[in-house]
Amino acid sequence: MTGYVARRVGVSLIQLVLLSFFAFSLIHFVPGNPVATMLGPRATPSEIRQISDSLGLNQPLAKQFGLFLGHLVTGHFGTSFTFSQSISSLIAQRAVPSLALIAYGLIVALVLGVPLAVASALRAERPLDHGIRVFTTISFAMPTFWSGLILAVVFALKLHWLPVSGYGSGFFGVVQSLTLPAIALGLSLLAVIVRTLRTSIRHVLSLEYIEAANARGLSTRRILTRHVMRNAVMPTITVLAVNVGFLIGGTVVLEQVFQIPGLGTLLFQAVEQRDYPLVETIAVLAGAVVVFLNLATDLMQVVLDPRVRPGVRSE
Amino acid sequence: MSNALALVRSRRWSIRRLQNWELTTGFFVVGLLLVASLLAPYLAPYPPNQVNVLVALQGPSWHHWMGTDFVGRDVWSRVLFGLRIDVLIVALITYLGLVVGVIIGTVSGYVGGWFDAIVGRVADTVVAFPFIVLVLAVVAIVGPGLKGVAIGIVIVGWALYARLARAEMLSLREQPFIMSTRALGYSHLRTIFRHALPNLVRTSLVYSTVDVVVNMLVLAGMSYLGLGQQAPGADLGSIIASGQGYLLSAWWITTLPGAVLVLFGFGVSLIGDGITRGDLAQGRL
Repeated sequence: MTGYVARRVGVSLIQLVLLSFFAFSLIHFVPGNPVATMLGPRATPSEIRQISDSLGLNQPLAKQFGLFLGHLVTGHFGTSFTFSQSISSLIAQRAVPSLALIAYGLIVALVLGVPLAVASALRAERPLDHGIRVFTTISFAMPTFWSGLILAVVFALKLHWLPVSGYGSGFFGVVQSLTLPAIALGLSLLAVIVRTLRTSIRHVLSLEYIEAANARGLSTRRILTRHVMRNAVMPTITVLAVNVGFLIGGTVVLEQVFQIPGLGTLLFQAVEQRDYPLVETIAVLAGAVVVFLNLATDLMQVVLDPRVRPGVRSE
Repeated sequence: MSNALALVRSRRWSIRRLQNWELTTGFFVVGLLLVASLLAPYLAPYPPNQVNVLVALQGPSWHHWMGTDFVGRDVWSRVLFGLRIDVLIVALITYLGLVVGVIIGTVSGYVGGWFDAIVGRVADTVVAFPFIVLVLAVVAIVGPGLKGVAIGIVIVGWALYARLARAEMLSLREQPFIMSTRALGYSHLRTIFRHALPNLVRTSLVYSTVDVVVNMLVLAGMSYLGLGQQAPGADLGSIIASGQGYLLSAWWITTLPGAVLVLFGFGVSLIGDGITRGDLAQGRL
């Protein structure tokens, strides 16, 4: 098992290096001169040269990448030239609203998704199941910014239940201001949860030990909570970890809709101002979060479920 | 006897059709929207950018099905042209990603060894990258516009297909009919493209229905943020954004184009579901 863990951690480390290289190479290999784009059409060649020098863009690529990696490892991401503030302190300030929104969105998705998945699996191929499928398919196809705007009109502008935008202070303030965006975010993730969980519940329900539990006269509720769900949640957790990137993307757009001062807004500002060091750093960190979560779920699976431990035969 | 058989057949046929309502509905919805968007120049009642301040902010009516926006442009005409741009770009980038990804994945799975190990890791890494963040990074470099968004989507898009195709190729490689192509002296290219590829492309095609929806949403999201389609041209995302300031007085500018986007995504998803269900029924999965 230690061998497996070591190998799995190694794979993640390789992924992190590749990820950094990928973010780094974008600026060099994507067509277009970033500095020229940054300075606009009236820039003189000498200005372009000067800025390129200050960004270190004229040094050999290998050296640049080495520096970039070194900065990432030590956490010295440098200074953002639009905010004239160190990138690490900027990111630390902005991370909380974004993480709160992602967590809240995930909670919304689970609170709605788990009951729907159970209902769908228990009534498979019946009208209820089809209805739930239609609902989740529609929620998957909804752009988060569109559903967010509609929620804002109905619940903020018309009914005045919740604030239209911004980021409140204190726990309740934060919860209030993030409720609408979190619902929009949760709805976009709903289909993934319901589908995966429905499939795995149906699979578990078809197994012999469930039949045995039925024969023993256990109540449906007990069978579901004690026997089915325990075995059905793992694939859903894995799928959720894979979809964190999707959640991050939804957050970036929703922060703009609801004017939440999070990492998404920061990234958007950085893109508009062409603050490349900031864009690169946020991109790498966002990717690193996904890599880390995938690693965590894989390891958790090994700890929780003896059957997937390498070297253990399941049959 | 033959009558009874025909009856059984026709009943089975109708049950099957009913069971695959997803496919029927999906093709109907998507077909309708595709035809409408491709024929936009003929179907649109007004030029999409025709300004007429006299009829600004009018609600949906017989003359303006989706109302008019703040300078009196007909929203329905703009939606038709906007959908046309979105559909064309999404189709192009999704299937470009599919072709590139499937070829890379198939070759990688067939060749194996260190090449395959590298391709596998790179594809995993690209997939791990939060999609929109990457597209934003590319837009930062290329500059705002559909070009940057399209490049960003393709840079990520190939990787999922490469993973799917590679996984299928790894199992196909052990199948007798692929192994025997070596004995028959076929070239590697012939084995890959004539024998392996047709057998593994189906999974990717089914997956592409999900990808089309996701790409459509990313494209619309970028245009909503003002980084995609630039004025005066309009796609669905930028039309939705343009109505944002009028949500209370003129709800139709934002709501109705969004509904068209949802309808398209819904139809495409149904097609994917229908195909999967058909495969399940035939024991192909």
